[in-house]
Amino acid sequence: MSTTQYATTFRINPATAAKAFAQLVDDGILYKRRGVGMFVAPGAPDRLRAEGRETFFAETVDPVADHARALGIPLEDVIARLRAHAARTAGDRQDGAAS
Amino acid sequence: MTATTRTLFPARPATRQGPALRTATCLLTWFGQVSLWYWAIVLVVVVAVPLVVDAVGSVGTSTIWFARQSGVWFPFSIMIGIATTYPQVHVASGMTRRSYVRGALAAAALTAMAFALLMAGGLMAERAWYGAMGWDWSLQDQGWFDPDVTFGGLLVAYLATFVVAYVSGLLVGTVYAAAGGWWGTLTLPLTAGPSLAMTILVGNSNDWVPFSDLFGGTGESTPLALVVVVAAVLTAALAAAFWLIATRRSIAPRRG
Amino acid sequence: MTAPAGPLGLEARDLTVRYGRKTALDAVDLSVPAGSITGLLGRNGSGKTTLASVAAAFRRPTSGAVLVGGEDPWENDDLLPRVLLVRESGDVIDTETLRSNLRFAEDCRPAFSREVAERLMDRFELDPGAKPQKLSRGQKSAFGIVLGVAARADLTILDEVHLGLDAPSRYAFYDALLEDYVAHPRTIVLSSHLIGEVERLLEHVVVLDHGRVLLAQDADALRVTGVSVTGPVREVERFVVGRTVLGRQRLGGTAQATVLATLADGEAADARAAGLDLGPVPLQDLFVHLTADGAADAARELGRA
Repeated sequence: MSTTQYATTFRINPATAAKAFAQLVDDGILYKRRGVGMFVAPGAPDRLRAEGRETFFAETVDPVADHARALGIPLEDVIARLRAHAARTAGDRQDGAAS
Repeated sequence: MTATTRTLFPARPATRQGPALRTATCLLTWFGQVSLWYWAIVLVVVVAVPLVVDAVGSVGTSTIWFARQSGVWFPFSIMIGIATTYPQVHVASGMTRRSYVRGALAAAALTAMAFALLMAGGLMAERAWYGAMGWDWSLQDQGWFDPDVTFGGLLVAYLATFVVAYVSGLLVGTVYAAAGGWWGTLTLPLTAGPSLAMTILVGNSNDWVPFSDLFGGTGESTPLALVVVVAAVLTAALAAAFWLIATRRSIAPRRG
Repeated sequence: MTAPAGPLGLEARDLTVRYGRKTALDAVDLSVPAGSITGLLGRNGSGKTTLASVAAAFRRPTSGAVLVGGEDPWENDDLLPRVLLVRESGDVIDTETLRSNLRFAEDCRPAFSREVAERLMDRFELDPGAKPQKLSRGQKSAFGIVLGVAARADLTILDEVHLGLDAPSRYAFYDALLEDYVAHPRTIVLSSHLIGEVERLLEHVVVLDHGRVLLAQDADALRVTGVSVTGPVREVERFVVGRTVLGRQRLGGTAQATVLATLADGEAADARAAGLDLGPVPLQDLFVHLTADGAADAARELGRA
């Protein structure tokens, strides 16, 4: 999808979309092949996952711990719940189509 | 998503009219439709009245002669309407006020020519028709706006009067729109007065008219030459005022 | 001396417009970049409509200058066909059909696109044989939009053209505008009170207040300068020290403040660790705060940032 197609699909200003894509190119997530289009850079998915990991812990997991404490829920209960949920969904994924 | 969108109108040729010409065409097309109704009514009345009168009595007077004042004042009032409502469409369509003034004046002149031809020609045709039907044909004498009853004389007199009246109408509308109701009404003697003056001038008992003898007047109806000169002077003055005011006019915010 | 081809920029230099004793625009200096979609925001009576009127040569400045493509638009034969102002329902010939009005527009506007006009007439379900005087409010606005987009004027100013349109039609308008802007680049000045809806379309933002420019900035830059902070009162108060506060609210032990701040990475994490919840400030909220009474200083601060 070109940047202008992206802009019109999501109803945002094309210049903003172009800036966002340029930023991703600068960050090494995307690269541009002239005349062909934009592609995800090799190693980018891993890098994004690594960054995502940090953000996940800082912005999602830590607040969960804080929230649980505020509600008076013991941390062990949270962990147990997480394990049970993971086991259940892993089973679903095996039965159903692979994601 | 519709598979095919309806075609609105056929593609235009590549050449474009200039803005003044476009204005004149637009105004004339619009006014043309309105005047078609006017003339249709005149025609019906002019044909029907003597036929009815003939059935109950004797026909002796011209009907279309009574319509001559309407030939002045009906388009006059339409011009006022045009001058108040059209300029904002014109400016909003990306054209200059100068081209509007030129186009409007051209439309006024052409309308005056058309109406003068139809009025004068209509009178001649009516006279011929009455003659063929064996009816008497006389003109009710009203003492004013009584030009000489020859085709040429009628045509010139009507044309002179109509041109002044239609340009006057444009000016009246412009002053009202540009300066508001107070100024519009206050200046009516200047803006609409000339129209009235012309109808009085083109009369048949105008020994009071100055310069009459200079133009070969015999003390009866105003000499045609004088009528034309007065019309030319008045038209020039009215058109100049129209130009000056209309080219400076602000277009007000749209209401609703 | 002729303006360049392509999108036209708009500039105001010390522009003042007075109606009798009322000053609508007061020594305004601003610049709308050519080829951008610029939002013209302001409360009622802020001078937006007057600015649009002067730009399209509907009226003259009382003093100062307005320049379109570097030229004075007043009575400018070459420039004016490329400048379009659509006001609310558009200035159309009420007594002629929509079809006739579009034909007229096609004659007047050099870049008019018949295909776009046809497509939009369909999308807004307008009958080409109808006359403007018989249309509803929303339909009149829709027709104004059809003209506004299809004319492809190099400077297109759309002044509150969404009035009377329901939400789906408004979104159809935004889509149509973006699509055609991408297909045929031009300068678009969009004046709307529905800031939340148009925010993402904008590249540049101009805010007017009481006849003066409150701010004129790149939309992205503007988006990152507002921060909404929510959390315990003490922590919020500590956070706002030294920053320009636009607004404050408090409910019991929790406070919320809207501030102007560009946060470094560390600062955001620290704030979260302290129990604060940080969020962006939507342009609409920023606008409300900036145009509140007494907010002029905050706006100046923002302009300098």
